[in-house]
Amino acid sequence: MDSKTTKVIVIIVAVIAVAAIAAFVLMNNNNGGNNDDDKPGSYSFRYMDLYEDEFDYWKLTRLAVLGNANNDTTIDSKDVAYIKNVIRDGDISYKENNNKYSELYMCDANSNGTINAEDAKFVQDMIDGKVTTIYYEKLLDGIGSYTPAKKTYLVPIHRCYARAAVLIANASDNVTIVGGDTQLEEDEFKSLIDFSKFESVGTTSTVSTEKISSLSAKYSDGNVVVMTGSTVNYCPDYEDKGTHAQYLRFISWEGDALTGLLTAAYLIDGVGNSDGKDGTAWGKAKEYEEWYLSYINLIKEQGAKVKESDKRTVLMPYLTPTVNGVDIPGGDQSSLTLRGNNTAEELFIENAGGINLYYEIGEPNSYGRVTYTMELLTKLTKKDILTDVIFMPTFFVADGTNPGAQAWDAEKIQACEDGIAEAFSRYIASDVDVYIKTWRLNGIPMIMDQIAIAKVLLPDNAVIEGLDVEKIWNEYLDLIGASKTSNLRFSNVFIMDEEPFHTLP
Amino acid sequence: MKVEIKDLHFTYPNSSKEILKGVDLVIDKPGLVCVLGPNGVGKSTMVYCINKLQTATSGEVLIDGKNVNDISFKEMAKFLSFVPHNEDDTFSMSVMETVLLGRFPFKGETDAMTDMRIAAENIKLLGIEDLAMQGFDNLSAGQHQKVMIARGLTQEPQILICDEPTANLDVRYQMIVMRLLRDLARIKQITIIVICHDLNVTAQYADRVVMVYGGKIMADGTPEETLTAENIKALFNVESEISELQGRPHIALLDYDGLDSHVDEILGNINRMKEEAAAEIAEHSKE
Amino acid sequence: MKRPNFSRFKSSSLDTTGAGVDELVHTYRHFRMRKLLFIVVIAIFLVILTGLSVGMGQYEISFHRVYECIWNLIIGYDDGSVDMSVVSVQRLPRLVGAIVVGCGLAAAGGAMQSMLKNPLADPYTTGISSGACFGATLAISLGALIGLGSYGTVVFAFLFALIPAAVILMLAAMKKCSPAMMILAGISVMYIFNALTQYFMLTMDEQDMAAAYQWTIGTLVKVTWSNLPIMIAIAAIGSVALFYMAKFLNAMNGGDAFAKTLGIDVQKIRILVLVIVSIVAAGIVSFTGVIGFIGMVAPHICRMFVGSDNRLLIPSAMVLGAALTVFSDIISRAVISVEVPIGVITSLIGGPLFLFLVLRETKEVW
Repeated sequence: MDSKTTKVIVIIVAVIAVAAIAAFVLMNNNNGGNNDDDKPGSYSFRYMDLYEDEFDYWKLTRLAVLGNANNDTTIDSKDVAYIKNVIRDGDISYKENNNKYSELYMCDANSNGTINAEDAKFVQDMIDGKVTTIYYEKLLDGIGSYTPAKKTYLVPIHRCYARAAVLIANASDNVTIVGGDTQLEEDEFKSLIDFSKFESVGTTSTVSTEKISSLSAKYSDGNVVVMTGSTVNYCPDYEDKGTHAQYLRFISWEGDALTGLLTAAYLIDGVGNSDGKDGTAWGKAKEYEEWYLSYINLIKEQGAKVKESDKRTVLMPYLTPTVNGVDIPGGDQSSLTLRGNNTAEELFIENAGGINLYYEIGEPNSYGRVTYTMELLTKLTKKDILTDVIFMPTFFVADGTNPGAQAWDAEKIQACEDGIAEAFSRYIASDVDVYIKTWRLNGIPMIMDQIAIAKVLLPDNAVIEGLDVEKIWNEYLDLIGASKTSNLRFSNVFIMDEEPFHTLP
Repeated sequence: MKVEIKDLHFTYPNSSKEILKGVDLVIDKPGLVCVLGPNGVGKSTMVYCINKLQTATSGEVLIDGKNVNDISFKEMAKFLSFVPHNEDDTFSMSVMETVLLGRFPFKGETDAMTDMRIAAENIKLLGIEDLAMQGFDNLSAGQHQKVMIARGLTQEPQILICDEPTANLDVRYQMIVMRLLRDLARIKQITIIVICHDLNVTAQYADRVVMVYGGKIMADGTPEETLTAENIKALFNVESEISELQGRPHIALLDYDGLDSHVDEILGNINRMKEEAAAEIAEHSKE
Repeated sequence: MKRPNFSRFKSSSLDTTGAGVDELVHTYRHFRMRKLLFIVVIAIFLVILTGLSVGMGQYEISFHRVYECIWNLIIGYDDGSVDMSVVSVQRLPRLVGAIVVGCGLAAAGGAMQSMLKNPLADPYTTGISSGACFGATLAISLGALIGLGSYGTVVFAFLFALIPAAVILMLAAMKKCSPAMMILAGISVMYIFNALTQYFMLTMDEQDMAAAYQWTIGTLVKVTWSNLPIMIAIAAIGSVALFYMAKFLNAMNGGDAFAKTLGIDVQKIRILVLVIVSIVAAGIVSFTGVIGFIGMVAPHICRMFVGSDNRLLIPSAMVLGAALTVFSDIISRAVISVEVPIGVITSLIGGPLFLFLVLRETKEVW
């Protein structure tokens, strides 16, 4: 075998390998990435990209539907005026005026890459009910489109979306929940959904495209709409799988939960219904917004009164703490790890006059999560960064078989507390108030979370003290249309000790 | 076709021992040529230099005046075929398919029908048509040889080289195969070169015998001329008596004390021990 | 010396006129036709399995409607129904993927077995599967850093799958390499890559480790219309190339020395077959993970029915391989409510099947 032939063969192999890879890469470059089409949704920037900029869109309560030019919570003549104003000096195009477009992307109502008079007209048509397809900002995945129909059949995936779906479905006769993942079979939803019409479509991570297709075939007189989160985590690329269903992907807890609800509700029956008539999802969503924000604003007011020097410092991880890599309760208590990043709850801490320490300590990993090991936590006890309050969110204090179960396992809670206490006692020198808090209310009921946090951070505030949690919960049930059917008690879905358990050196 | 070997020397790479020390040979008539010699003497090496399975260290091999180094394997396959000693039958095909392999050098030049006819003809020629659809691995050693010869013939060669075709065959098949080769050489007027061990079978059927010894051609001629007691003694270090049988030499090998000094010593020891034992018994019985 | 008596030569076995020869040729062609029949039978079986496979699932669709949808697809007509979408977008890629995998692996396996003269050989004999697993594991653990995405894993898997093959190629090129040496070299490379893979898995994040492990189990779930064309191209070109090599492989059956005298450059052919098999196997493994046994069992069974002539063996192995893979895919979805990865099924079926073949050992195969 001579070396010349060897070289020839090696070259052939290399060429084939490179060609195959190149072809594959080229073919896949059509997914994601910017391209020059003027197709709606072909721009890949997303509101999360603006996170790093000064303007923190994600903290806003807003309607994330394109055409909402002024980023408030509705589509009205003000948006038409806004657009007309910005195009006074000429059209703004994605290709040519990229920076300006990026700031004003919400003005591109027809999502064609150019902000011009057509967009103003488009918004007017949205108000008058004359458009068939509208565009909105998906959670993390760019711009999506939605074509409303008279009848809407919802299939929420994940309990966070199910909660919004319940409100929407109960608000309108034209909207029904017809399916969902196995999380909807938890006790919480037993009294909120009509299970005679419900079909399970699989678990959250393995949703069956076939079941969704079956639902599409069954409910062909309207829209079958899957409500869920970003494509990376839920129903990945199912839009391309020929299920004949539409996929609504919106925020439920990653930012302000109201944003997601408002967006979903508007898409479903907000077109031609800007005022939000009774008996419509959009109407109910607006009502919910008013109620929700009334409490937020109340708490913000009280939080603003706290002097800078009196502000309490707060650490609130996102996931269940682990001890030596094992979820509490369990593991021998020698090394405590808290993982997470805050999102909506960050706002809640600030609203209640607290200082969030998430960003002070620890480097986020590739998922954007910080892991606080005991060593890091010792920093917290030094004079320069004192932590007053640590909230420990956890799923696992419930009865182990069903995380949504209403029977909380007192023993497990105790074991959890003991584990944390033991770990803390080795490292934390100062007096820190530690609270165990559930995670159960992500989504639109997060207001309860805010109230609980406010009660901890503003214990001496009479207004806050006067907030009756059970009463507010019943107001919530009323708004989501469940109070008549539900016996869902607040104390059964949310737990936080009234008193902290804390360690002394 | 004329095969000429001129002053062929061969040494294995990484070895200092010269196997062939200047071999000269001319084969220019059709017929059955048997190459004789003890193991390791280089007879296979010499023959393999003809069909390029080995390359000479120095010297020339010419076929019809052309140096074999200038003939590619592909070209050579069209006039020279090879029947190996035996075949691994891990995955064997049917006899017909095996024989058809002989048409490989002509792919593209002849059509499938012609190929099949030629293969079938050779199968008939060898008398194995009843076995034609059977698997190669179902056959006996003798039938194996016939199939491989048929395959070699299907290449329609001018020169056929067989590597020890009779080595694992029973007596009858040894004779059948050698007889076949002799007849084929005459009918088809081709040169068949056979590397051989067996003296009597060679004597019976060969047209020409080439004896290789000491890295050179020791003797070259008809069986009568070459198969003499001296030559056989020089070649194989055995005593023999040559007589005539059916017009051909017949070699009877002789046993004698002194054939192998080692064996003689053992036998001597055994005899001595027997005598000593007998003497002891005699002594004891006296007492 | 007496002159030889030529009259002895006049015997019927030397009669080379038409009659007996024609009969023999005729019998032989008949013999080959019967073997082609085997291929046809398996192909029919494959068509039926197609209907069953595409008709299976939570979305109800009748047997007849399945073929209607497939036909519509072929003629390019879309009736816009949910049926069509389910068939064409959700189910057909899997089926086509299964067929491609089966064809490719079986052809590669058949060629490997013939080339190495070893009935236990399969397309992964040269260590390709361990190279691919390592590549994928590496890609997954580096994934977040480099931002590769899903196609990065495929590319890495493919590249690393070729490394063991390259090692053996260089070995073969540097010194004359016997089949046994090739197999042994492949095994050593396999050990090296397995060790590296395990090391990475141990030091990875839990989530990543689960993803890496899942990758190694053969599955058709990741096959979509966007990555099928490449798989089809590689498998098709590779299979055709291997079919072309069939004649050479047949001749090499007789031993290296004999093959040389037929004019075949044995080293070159070995290397070429190795390269083609490597590319086909690597190309498939990169997308599906390791689906085992098809590449070994399909050619094996085919040898029993069509013999060892590679010109028949490779095509029939392809058809049988496709049928076996589709069948395994059906089983993987039918047995329990959760889908079992196809790699598990092919091993569960292939293992006992192989054992059965070994016990049944007939001389024809071995």
